[in-house]
Amino acid sequence: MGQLLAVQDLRVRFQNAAPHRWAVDGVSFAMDEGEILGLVGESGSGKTVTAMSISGLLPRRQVQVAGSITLDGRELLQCTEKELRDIQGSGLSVVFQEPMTSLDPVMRIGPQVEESLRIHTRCTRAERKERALEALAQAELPDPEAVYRKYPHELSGGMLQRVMIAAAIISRPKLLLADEPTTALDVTIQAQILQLLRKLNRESGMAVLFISHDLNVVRRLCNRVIVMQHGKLVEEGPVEDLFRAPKQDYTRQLIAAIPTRDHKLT
Amino acid sequence: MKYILKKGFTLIITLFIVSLLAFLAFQVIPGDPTTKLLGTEATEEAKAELRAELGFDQPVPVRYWNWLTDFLRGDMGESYSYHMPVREMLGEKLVITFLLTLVSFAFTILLSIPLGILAGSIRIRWLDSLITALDQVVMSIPPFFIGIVACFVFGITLRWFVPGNFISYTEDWGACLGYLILPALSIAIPRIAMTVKMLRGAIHRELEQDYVRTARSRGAGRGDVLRRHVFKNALLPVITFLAVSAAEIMTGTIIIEQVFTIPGVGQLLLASISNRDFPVVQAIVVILAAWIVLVNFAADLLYQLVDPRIRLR
Repeated sequence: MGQLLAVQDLRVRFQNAAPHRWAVDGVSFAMDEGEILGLVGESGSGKTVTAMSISGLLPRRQVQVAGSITLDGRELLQCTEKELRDIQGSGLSVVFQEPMTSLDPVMRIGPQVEESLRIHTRCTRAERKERALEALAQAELPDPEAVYRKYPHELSGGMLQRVMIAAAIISRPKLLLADEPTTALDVTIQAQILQLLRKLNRESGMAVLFISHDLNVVRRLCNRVIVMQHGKLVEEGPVEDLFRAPKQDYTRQLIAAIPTRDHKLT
Repeated sequence: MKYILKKGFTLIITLFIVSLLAFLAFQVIPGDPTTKLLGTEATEEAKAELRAELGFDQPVPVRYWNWLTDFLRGDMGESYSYHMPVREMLGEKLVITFLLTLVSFAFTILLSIPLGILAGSIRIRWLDSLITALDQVVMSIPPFFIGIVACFVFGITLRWFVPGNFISYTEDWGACLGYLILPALSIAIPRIAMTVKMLRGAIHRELEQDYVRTARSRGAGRGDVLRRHVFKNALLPVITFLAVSAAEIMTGTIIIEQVFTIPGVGQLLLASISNRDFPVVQAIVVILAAWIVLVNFAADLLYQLVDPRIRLR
């Protein structure tokens, strides 16, 4: 399989930060087509900023980004805003952490799921609806027709995250950025969403960059994982190797932080 | 439907309380209408006789009850000073004041929403600051001052109309509306500035919301995000504000009618208060209060219609 994403020496600095405070400091990694890569680290380790740089959602005026990000052979950091918008929502989709607030509260689910088709394709309204229903079904939402007509506040958090996933996959992107997509959900729903992501990856060959602070979640989903701390990439490798023989202290701490059944809180 | 019934019930209770307060206020404030009617030199006997004639010798609850039931039947009593039915006195004046309110409200809506959207969409920083500062200034100009300046500029200098003159709708609808434009704008202008400020703020707040980031992640450009997502969300709080405006514009007409010498309810109200002409004042107060309560009721219903989140309850 060919290479899909290559991040090289990525450096990100916020305009109002101190001169040498890089939120992301020289990160390099690559992803193959159809791969599920885990990106872990504690809060403030730069994992979300890395993902936002790839998605092009960082406000350009307030952030300085250096290095190189190539997606499917295109250098994203050299793109104009217009070129970037052509990629967003067609070749690359994002699922965010908070499904409750990530949807427009006064718009029905249907048009929100279809939005990237409306922007990027010349599909007719009927075609869009058909594909939206298809995507909702793929995201395993019961009764897509009903969900299509609902407002976000009428659905539960887990269902909303499925809606977000449906909206992300409707344009059949090559890469899905999932930024802590299960953090806001309770544990049983979490497992279902992970299963769904795995299924979508298997069926459509869509690569997933899965960002989480929870190594346990990453272990269940990903084959390979990279670990970030203080804006730097500290460890990289197959997930099982990482668990068996972590090279870094930091990784060991992350593993130790996973609650187990033997741990009794005192 | 159940909601509407519930709200309607509250509405009736509110109106009832307002009528009671309007009635009681004149039992409490000093000043005797008989002194006004008969002059300060009237004898006590003459005054007592007149009080009995006007029904003042009866206990307050009885008088309130009689007044209320008459009012509901459409009989607003008789003016003390003019000896004619209040209903007749109010008729034309009420229509004029309502026309003024409606024209002013129409200006407020038609101008503030596009201007607010424009102000909220501007990205050039110095222009945004300039507009905000200007808006703040306009917001703080009292309507009567705008009215005076308008009279001077358009009436005295440019001679577009004759200050002090007024043509009622009974003579000529077009001319009447023409005479109402400047007073309506005088009331509307500070309101428009307030609404613009509010809408601009709401748009800026909505632009920070997560759903905007989601739309952008799908490749939506700024214009697309504003048109399809932000404006509707930002307009929600403004609807309530505009409804309150409709009520405040009505009370604003009282002063502006003095400036433009419009023979509306405002002039009558001020004259009747100083004459202690209670039946007239009570009728006007209750009508103004009913308008305010009804407008708020309408705003509630409208809000239900546009915000899906509260539609169900």
